[in-house]
Amino acid sequence: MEQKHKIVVLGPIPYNHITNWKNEVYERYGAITYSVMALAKLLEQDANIIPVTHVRKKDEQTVKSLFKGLPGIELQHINSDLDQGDVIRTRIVDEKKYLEKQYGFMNPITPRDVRDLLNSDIFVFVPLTDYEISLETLEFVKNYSKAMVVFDAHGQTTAMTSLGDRVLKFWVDRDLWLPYIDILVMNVEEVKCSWFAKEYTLEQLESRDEITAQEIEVFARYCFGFGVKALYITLAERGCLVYYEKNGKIQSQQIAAIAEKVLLPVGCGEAFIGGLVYGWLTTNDFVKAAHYANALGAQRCEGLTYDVFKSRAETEKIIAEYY
Amino acid sequence: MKTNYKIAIVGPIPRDRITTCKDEIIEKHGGITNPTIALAVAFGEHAILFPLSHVRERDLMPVENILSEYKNIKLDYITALADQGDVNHLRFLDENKRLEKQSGFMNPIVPDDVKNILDCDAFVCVPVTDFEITLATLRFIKKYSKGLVIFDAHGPTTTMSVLGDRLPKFWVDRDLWLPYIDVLKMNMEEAKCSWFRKRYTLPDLENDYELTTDELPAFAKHCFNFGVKALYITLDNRGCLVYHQKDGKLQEEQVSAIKVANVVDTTGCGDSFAAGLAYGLLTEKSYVQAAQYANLFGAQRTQGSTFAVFKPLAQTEKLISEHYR
Repeated sequence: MEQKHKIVVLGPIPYNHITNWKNEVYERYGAITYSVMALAKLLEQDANIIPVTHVRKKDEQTVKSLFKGLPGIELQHINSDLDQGDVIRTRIVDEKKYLEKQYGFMNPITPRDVRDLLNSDIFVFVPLTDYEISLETLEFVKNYSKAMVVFDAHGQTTAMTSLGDRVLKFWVDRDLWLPYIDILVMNVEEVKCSWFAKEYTLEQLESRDEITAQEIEVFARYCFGFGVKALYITLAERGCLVYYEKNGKIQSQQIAAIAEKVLLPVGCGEAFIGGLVYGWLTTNDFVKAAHYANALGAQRCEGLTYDVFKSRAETEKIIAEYY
Repeated sequence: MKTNYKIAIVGPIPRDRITTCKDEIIEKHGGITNPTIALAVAFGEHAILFPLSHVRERDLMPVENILSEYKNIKLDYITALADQGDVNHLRFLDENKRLEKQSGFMNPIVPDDVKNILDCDAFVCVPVTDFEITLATLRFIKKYSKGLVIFDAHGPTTTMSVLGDRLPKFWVDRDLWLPYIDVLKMNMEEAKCSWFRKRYTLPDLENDYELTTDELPAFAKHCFNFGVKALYITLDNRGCLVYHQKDGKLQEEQVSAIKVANVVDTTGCGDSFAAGLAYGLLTEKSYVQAAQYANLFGAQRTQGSTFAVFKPLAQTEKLISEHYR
């Protein structure tokens, strides 16, 4: 790799109290922690990785210490000025079903947080809830920076109620966000929140019908109309779908997952994005980027600790063998 | 009185499909129709009203039919370009208890929607869900207009789930909005969502703890630090609390409700209250006097299910005199 990349990763680092289906309890700092660690392992000394987040004062030093020993991570944009950070209690019922309660919340990331980072190569937004990243921040980045913007739709499709429940919501103001996004990532449930009808019957709302492949392609085309360049849909154990345009035509491909043994399915989406960003930066190929994304998502689920991510050489070997 | 007020009323006009406890089905259009008509009737020829909303194509004509009965209401800013509008289903289990679902949603109001009415004297913003009025719109109004911004916190403290449930939420990005609001209005439940703590315990949240009125002065001070000039907290049949500043000091006053004998329908009271504030403040009344008009408009809304509940200026002033002077 010829030059050092500068990568900004923005979103919460929640203090997460997790109980799995075997009633085992884990306390972790999650979300962008995984994206940043995945990127650091893959990029080694070839990049500066800058997490931008707000945490509670009591968490700041612990969070910063998590990144010790990993190359290229700059910690000065992890701040606790307002002493606000996400706090989430998760009960994992099975590999796909989580019950979550949130009882602390970070102050939103605003243009002020990124104004001295505008010379970066890529901004990776990984919000978990709708208030965490302000639309103004995306607008600011796109207006004053040449960086590519990767955005996870998880935040805009999740609200937190005053009872602490985290609920799925329609991304009604979607079209205000799309012009500022280059690569959009979401899971199938989030597609259903993002590609909504003009009106539903009560029965339709309750039945939550599955979305078809044709509908996803129409959605992809719609996003591209606003300037989005690639859409990734994660499919859990089935890998992911990637949509992009080539010579004005929509290309789509399903990339099979790398088989993994799931020990703790937390942070897989964030690790997926870390792999995706690395893959895109090093190959400029949306499909090859998905290989890295799947590989890192799988690595995250295979272990219980933070050191699940493999070195660049090991990951490339796995990808070469698998794909 | 100045004779040429221009007032924008911004927010949804939902199609409410109501199933009564007798299983009768009624469809009507609420939202900003109430504050718009309340102001149209109160001001009469002294003001032009600009309701600004997005509705479904099938709702455009019925809404226009309702509002076109009032000569001082301009309909140019009610549009159906995206064919999106709020749709609510209300099922009354008894006279007071109802289940509510939202099954349609308007596209958000953006700066482009308000760019031709920046000369309005006031913008009465009454969103009911978090996506309806964008922060960029408020910022745009504040930057390019001298109009007074009255904002109802009902919108940013309410989210809608994919199941159509309307749920209260914390207004976590509150401090991004406050600099663009002159007069902020909310009820106690919304105040709880707006004056949140840095963290909670799970029992706090699950037991749905109550915010007390003792905590409101600190919240008001916080708002004033961001440029808000008055905070109104509605208290149902106890009237409302008014917070403002005088010579740098916080003023707090409770303004009693106007007692009404026969409450027919409480839908739209909050929106009508906001209209009363606009009326009072534009006619250069004090913050406390504006609350009296707000209470009156809210009380009038309860007196029937049609728009005939709103009264012209002379009657409005008479009622205010009877109750407060």
